[in-house]
Amino acid sequence: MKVRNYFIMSLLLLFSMATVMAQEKTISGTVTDEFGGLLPGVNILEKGTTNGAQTDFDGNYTIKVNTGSILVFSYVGLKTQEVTIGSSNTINITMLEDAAVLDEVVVTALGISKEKKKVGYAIESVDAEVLEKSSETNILNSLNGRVSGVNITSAGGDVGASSNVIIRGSSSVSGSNQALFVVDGVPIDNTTTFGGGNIAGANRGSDIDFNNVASVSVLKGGAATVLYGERGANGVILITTKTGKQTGRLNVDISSSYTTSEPNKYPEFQNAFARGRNGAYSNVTHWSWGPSYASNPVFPAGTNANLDGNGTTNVGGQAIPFYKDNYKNFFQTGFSLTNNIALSGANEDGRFFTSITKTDEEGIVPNSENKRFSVLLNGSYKLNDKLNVGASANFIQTKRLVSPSGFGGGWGQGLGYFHHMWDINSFKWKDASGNKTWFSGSVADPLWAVNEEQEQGLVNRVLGNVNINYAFSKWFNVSYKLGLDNYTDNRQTYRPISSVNTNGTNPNGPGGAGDGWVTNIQSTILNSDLIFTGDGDLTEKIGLSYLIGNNVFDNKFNNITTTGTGQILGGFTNITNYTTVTVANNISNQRIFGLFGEVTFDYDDIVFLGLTARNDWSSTLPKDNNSYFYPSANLGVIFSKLIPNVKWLNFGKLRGSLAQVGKSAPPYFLQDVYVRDGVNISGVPRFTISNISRNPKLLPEISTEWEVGLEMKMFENKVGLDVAYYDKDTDNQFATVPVSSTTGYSTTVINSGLINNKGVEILLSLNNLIDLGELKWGLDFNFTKNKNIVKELTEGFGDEITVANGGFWSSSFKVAKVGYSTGTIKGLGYDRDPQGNIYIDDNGNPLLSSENIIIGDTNPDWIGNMSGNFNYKGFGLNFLLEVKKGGDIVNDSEGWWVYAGLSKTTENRFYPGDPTATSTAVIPGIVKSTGLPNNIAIPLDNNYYQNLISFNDEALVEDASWIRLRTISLSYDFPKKFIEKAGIHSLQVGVIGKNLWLDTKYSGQDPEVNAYGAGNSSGWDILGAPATKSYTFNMKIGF
Amino acid sequence: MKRYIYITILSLSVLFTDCTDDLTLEEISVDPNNPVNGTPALLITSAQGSILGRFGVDWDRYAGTFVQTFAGNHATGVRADQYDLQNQDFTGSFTNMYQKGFRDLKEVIEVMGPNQEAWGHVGIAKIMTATGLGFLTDIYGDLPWSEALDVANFTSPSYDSQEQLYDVIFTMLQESIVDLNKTSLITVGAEDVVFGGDLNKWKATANLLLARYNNHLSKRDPSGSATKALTYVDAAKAAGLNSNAGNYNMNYNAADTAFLNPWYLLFTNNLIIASENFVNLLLSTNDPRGLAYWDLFAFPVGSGGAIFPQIVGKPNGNPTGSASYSPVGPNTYYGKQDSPVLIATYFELLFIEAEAAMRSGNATRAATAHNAAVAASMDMLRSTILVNGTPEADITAYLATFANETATTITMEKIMEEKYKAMFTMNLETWVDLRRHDFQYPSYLSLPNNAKLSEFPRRGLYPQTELTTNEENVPSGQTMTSRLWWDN
Repeated sequence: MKVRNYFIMSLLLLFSMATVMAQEKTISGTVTDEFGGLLPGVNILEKGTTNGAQTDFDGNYTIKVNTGSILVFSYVGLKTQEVTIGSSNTINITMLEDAAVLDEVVVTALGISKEKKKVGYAIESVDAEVLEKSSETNILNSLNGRVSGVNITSAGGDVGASSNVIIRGSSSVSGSNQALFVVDGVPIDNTTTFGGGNIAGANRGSDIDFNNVASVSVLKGGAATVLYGERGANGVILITTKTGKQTGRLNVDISSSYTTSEPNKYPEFQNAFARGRNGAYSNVTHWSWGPSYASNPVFPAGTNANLDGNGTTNVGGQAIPFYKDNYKNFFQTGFSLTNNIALSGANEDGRFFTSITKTDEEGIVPNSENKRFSVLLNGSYKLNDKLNVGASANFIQTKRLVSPSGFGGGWGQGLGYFHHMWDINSFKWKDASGNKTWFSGSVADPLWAVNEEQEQGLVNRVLGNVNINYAFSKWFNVSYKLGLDNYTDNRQTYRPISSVNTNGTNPNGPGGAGDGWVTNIQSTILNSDLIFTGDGDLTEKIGLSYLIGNNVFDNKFNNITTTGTGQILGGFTNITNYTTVTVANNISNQRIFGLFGEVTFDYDDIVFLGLTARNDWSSTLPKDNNSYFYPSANLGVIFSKLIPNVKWLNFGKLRGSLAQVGKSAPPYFLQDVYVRDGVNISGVPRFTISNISRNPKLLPEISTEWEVGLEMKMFENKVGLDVAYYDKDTDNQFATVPVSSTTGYSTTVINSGLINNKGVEILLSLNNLIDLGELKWGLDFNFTKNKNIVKELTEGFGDEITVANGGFWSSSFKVAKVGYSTGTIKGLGYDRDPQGNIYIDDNGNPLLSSENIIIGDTNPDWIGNMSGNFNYKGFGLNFLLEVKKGGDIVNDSEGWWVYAGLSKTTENRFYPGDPTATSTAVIPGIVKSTGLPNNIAIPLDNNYYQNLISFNDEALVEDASWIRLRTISLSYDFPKKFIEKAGIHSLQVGVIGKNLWLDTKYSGQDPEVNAYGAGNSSGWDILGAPATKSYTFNMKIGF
Repeated sequence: MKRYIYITILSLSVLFTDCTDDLTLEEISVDPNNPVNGTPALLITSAQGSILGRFGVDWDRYAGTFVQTFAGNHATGVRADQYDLQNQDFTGSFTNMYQKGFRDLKEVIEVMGPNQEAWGHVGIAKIMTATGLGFLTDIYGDLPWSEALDVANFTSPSYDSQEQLYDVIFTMLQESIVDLNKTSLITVGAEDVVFGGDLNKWKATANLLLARYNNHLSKRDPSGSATKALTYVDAAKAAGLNSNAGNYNMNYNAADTAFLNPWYLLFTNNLIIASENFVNLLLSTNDPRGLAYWDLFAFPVGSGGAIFPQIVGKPNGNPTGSASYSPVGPNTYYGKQDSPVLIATYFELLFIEAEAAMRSGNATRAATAHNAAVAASMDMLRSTILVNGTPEADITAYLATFANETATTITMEKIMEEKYKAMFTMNLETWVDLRRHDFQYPSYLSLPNNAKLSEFPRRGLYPQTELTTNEENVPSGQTMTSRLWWDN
C-alpha cells in the first residue's frame, strides 16, 4: 500500500510542478460522489488548454487557472461537469453517475458492443450487482424477475437443481426450448443429464460463477439472435465476464457471503387420523386411514414398540404416539458460504482479471451438498494500435451429493407415507444387519433414501477462449476467436442392497438386490468465429458498418454409463461389486458450419437500418437438405430528433424487425439403425431394428418473427419506457410422433406443425422522479405476456401429439394439440355435460371421464414485477416484488398424499359409526340418468378420496398463480474517508432476504416448482424438495 | 505485419480443424451408437425373442383361465378369469410381434436373406412369421398385413380379413420349405435358439404348422380341412417329426436372468394358479401328469397341524381370497427357470391326426393316433413324473385306460379331452380347440363365477394403442364374444 501511495503521490507532485508556472489564481476543493464518498483521481482540466490536475486520495485538488476560465471535471463512469471560475477560490463538486442512457452501450450477438439507440430489436442488460442481490448460487435463477420475456422455473429446493429458462415462450414441440448461454462470445453447454437411478443433474450453465460476471445481456427475438444461428433460436443469454479496469493500481477485491435457507412453504397435512386402513388401526400399512384421534381409539399393546420417540399425545388415557410435523422435521436448515478473491489491473496496453471462488452449500434435504470451486484468468494485450490479443481460461469444479427424490423412487414417496404414529427424528431405518426396517416393497423409506442411497457427482470444466484482433483500418478489421467448453461429469450412484426400486430381490433380507451406476460424461464444444468488420461514413450523414463471418460449431458428447445389478458385498460401493455389470454408451456429435453477414446503415443519427443473413450447414440434416438460409432486417427511427420542440421527451425511438431463424434436428434421426437388445437369449446376443423410424428427408425447422418496439426517455430522463410486441411462427417442427405398431415402429420422425407465440413486454423505469437530495430512488416495472398456440400439426397424425409424460402418481401428460397452447395437460377428469356440469351417478358419486381430457395449461397468463432501489448516503435498499398470474400445476404429490390419507384434503371424513368422522357432501352437478341437479349426499370415506380425488387427475390440477417478494436487500457502503485510512478502497456490507413473502392459493409447496427441471415437461410438482427462503449476509472489500 | 496476422489467423483455423477431425458433415451425421447394418443371424435371435418369447406371456398365459386349466388368483389374473378385460390389457404380444418380430423378419426375408443367399435364415424367418401371425389372428381375427410394415407408405395400415391372413400363413409355410431346401452361402447356427440350425427340424415344423392351421378351419371347410391336415401330418412325419425331440419349443437359459421362462416368472407372482375343475379332472383320472403340471401346495389340515401336501385348485372366477393354491412351480416340467415353452409338439401333431381322421370318418386311424398321442405326452413328461415320485406303474395304468382306444371306442370327446390335458400351458391353442368345438369338451366347462360375459370369450379386444394410432382402420363394434372368421 505504501509503495503505491508513494508512487502516485510522486506522479501528482510532478504533475503539479509542471503546471505551477503560468497560473494566476489557485482554486481548490473536494470532489465527492453522490453518496458523499471522496473521489480520488478525478481529472480536472482547464477548458481549451492542456492545464490540468487530479484529485488526491481525499478527493482534494488544487489548480491554478485564469479567472473566467472553465474547469472540466471528468471521471470514468461519471457525468462530466463544467464549472466557470468566479470569484470564489473554493469549488466543491459532487459528481453524478452518468445517466446518459441515451448512449448506453449494449452487448449484442457475437459479443459486439453497440449503442443501444442504434439497435432495432429488444435487448435488455442486467448488471452483476443486481444479480448478486438474488441470494442464489445458480446464476440462472438470479435472472428471475430481472428481464422481461424470460420465464425461469427451478426444479425445486434441492442443491444443484436444474432450471428451465424459456425466452418468449416455447416454440418447439419435441426439440429443446432452452435459451442459449454464451460466455464471452463462446456458446457453452447448458444441458441437464440424468444419471443412474433417474436422478436429474444440474444444468451445466449453473457452473458459471457470479463473482466473475460483469453483465448479462438477454437477446430475445430472432433479429437479435440471428447471427448465432440455430443455437440462438430460443433466445440468447450473453454473459460478459469482468476484465481489469484502468485505475492505476492493482485492484484487490474480496467478497464473502453466508446464506441460510429453509423451505418457504410446506404442503398441509391432516392431523386428525392415525395410521391404519378402513378406519381401524393396522400395522401392515403406511396409510393414514386409521381411526380418528378424537374417537379415543384403543391401539393394540406394543403399538409403539418399534418407536424410540417419546413425544406422545394422551388421548383417552392411553399414551398414543402422535408426531404431526414429520414432513417439516425431515428437512434441515441449509446453508452456503461463498468466498471470492479477485485481482485485476490494467494500463494503456493491457488488462487482466483473475478470480478464485469457493462455494460450499448444504441443502435442506439431509446429506445433500454442492461445492463449487472456480478459477478465472483473463487478459488482453494491445501490441500496437492495430493488434490486440486476448485470452481467457476458467476452471470450474463442481461436486454434488444428492439422494433420489420423488419421481426418482427416492425419499419423497416415503415421506408421503410417514404417518403420525412414527417419529421421523428417531426412526431407525436399518437394522443391525444393515437391512432396511421399513417394510414397504415398493416405496423407499425417506431416511433410508437420504442416508443410504446417494449420488456423488464431480464435474471438472474448462471454459476458455483465445482471440486476436487486427484493425487494418477503420474500414477493415479482422478478428478471430476460438472458444472451448470442455467438461467431464462423473457420477456414482448407489442404491444398496435392501433398497426398494432396485432390480432383483435381496437374497438375505427385505428389499431389492441393489443397483449401482457409474456415469462418465465427456463433453466438448469448440466454437470458432472468424469475423471481418468495418465501419465509416459514406457521406456526411450516412454511416455504414458491415460484418462478414464464418462460424464452426462442433459439439462432442459421450456418455458411458455402467450399471451394476445385485450388490455382492453390502456396504462396498465399487461398481465391480455387482453380480451383473452392463455398459451403455451414448455418443452425440454435431457440427454446424455457418456463414453470416450484417450490414447496418445509419442516417444522420436518426434512422438505423440493419440487414443480416446467415446460412448454416448442419450435420444433423440429410445431405440434400443440410443447407439453410435465413435473413433478417431491423429498423430504428429516433423520432425524438424530428420533434426537438417537445421538451419533456428526451429520447424516443420506434423500432421494428423481421427475422427468420433456421434450426436443424437433433442428431441421428436420418437413417434407421439396429439397436442392441441388452438381454441375451439362451446366451445369444441380438440386435433389432430401432422402433423409431428415422427420416432421410428431414427439413430444418424455420421460425419467422416480427417485432415492433417503442423506447422513450421522458422528463429529464426520469421516466423510461420500453415496449415490445412480437409475433413468431415456428414451422416444420421436428417431432417424433407415435404410429400404429403394425407399421413396425412405435414412432416416426417427421417435420410437423406450426406453433405461434405472440406477446408483449413492457419495461417502465422511474428514476429520481422526485429529487430529495441525498435520497435517491428508482423503480422499475416489468411486464411479460406470452400467448402460445399450436396452429397446425402434420396431416395423418391426428390433431394431437404427446409432448411429454408428466405425472408420476397421476396419469396426466402434456400434449401439443391444434388450437391449444403447448402447455396443455391432459388426463382423467370429471365427466361433464356440454355446459360443463359434472355428471353424477344415481348414488351421488361424481363420474369420471372414460378417456383423457384437457385438464389444464401450464403456461402462465402473464408475469409482472416491480423492483425498487433506494439509496441514502451509503445505504442501499433494493427489492424485487414479482407476480405470476395463471399457469397450472399438476399437484402430483397431492395425489399420493390423498391416497395415503395424509393430505389435509382428507381431513373431513366419514367413518361409519364414528361420531368424530361424519363428513358427507353433495357434489354439485347433474345426475346423468335424470338430468336433474344432484341432491344426494355421499360419505367422504377413503373410497371417495382415493378413487374420485387421488385418481382424478383434474382434481390434482391447481392454479399456480403467486405473488412474492423475491428479494429484499439492504447494503451499506462505508464512506471512503473512514476506510481509506485503513488502506481500503471500498467496503460494503449487506443482507439479502429471498422469498421472505409468498402469497398463493396453491395447496402444495412453493408453486415455483418443476419436477423435471430443464426441459419440455414443466408443470408437475412431484414429491420433491420445496423451494427455499433464505437470508444472506455478505461483505465486499476492495483494496 | 499484415503477413504475420494472416499467418496467425490461418494457423489458428488449421489448429482448430486439426484438433477436432476432418470428418465431413455427412460422416458426422452417422449414428455412432447403433449400427446401420445388421446380419440375418442377429435378427433371427431377436425375432425368436420377440415372437416365440410371447408364448407363455399375456394372451397365451391368461387364456389359461378361459380354458379353465388355470384360475385367476389376484389382480389381472382374476380379471381375465372373470372376462373383465379392456383394450389396455395384454397389448405386449401385438406390439412386440409387429414392432420387432415381423419387421426384423421382413428385413431377413426380403432384403438380407436374398442378398446374402442366407436361405436357411429366410425359411426360418417365414416359419416364425407364420407362427406369430397365427398367434395374433387366432386372438384378434382381422389384422393389418398387406399395408403393414411399410411406414414410408402407410403410417396407418388397413386391416386384412382373417381369411387373407390364413392364406398368408399357408403361403409363408409352403415357401419356407422351398427356401430351406435351397443352398445357402451362410449357414444357420447357434443364433437359432430353437433347433440350433437343424433345418430338417424346421421343415418338419413347417408341415406341423400347416397341419395345425388347416385343422383350425374345421368349421369353415370340415372335409377339406381334415384332408389337408392329414396330408401335412404325413409330410411332417416324413420330414422326421417322429418324437418329442422335434418339438417346436422356445428355449430358455437360467443364465439369462432377464429372459427367463415366462412360466417360471408367473411363479414369482402367481397371478393365475391351478383351476379346481382341472385339478379334479387330473385327480379323478389318476393322471400321473399332475405333479409334472403343478407344484404341491403345503396345505395344513386338522387341528393338530398335520400337513398334507396336495395339489389344490381354485374355482374359476372367484375373487382374491386368503387361501393359497398350487402354482406351476419349479418342480414341474414347465416352471423351471430354463424350462422350454411349448409352441407346437409331436404329440399335438398326433392329436391333430386323430381329430382330422375322426372328422374324415377314419376311426381306426383316429384311435391309433390318439393312443400314440397320449403316450407321446407321457414320454415328454416321464422323467419329471418319476422324479416327483409318481411310479412308472401309474403311467402304465393310465395309458392302459386312456390310450387304449380302438376304432369302436374312440370318440371325438375322448380325443379332445386327452388333447386338452396334454396341451397344458399351450393355452392359446387349447382356446382355439374349445372355440372350434364350441366349448363342448371337456364336459365340465361352464361359465366361471362372477363372469362379466354371458358366454365364453371368442376373441380378444384390439390393443388400446391401435385405437389411438390407427383409429380409422381398426374394426369397431367388437366384443369378446364376437366370433372370428373360422369360428362361424
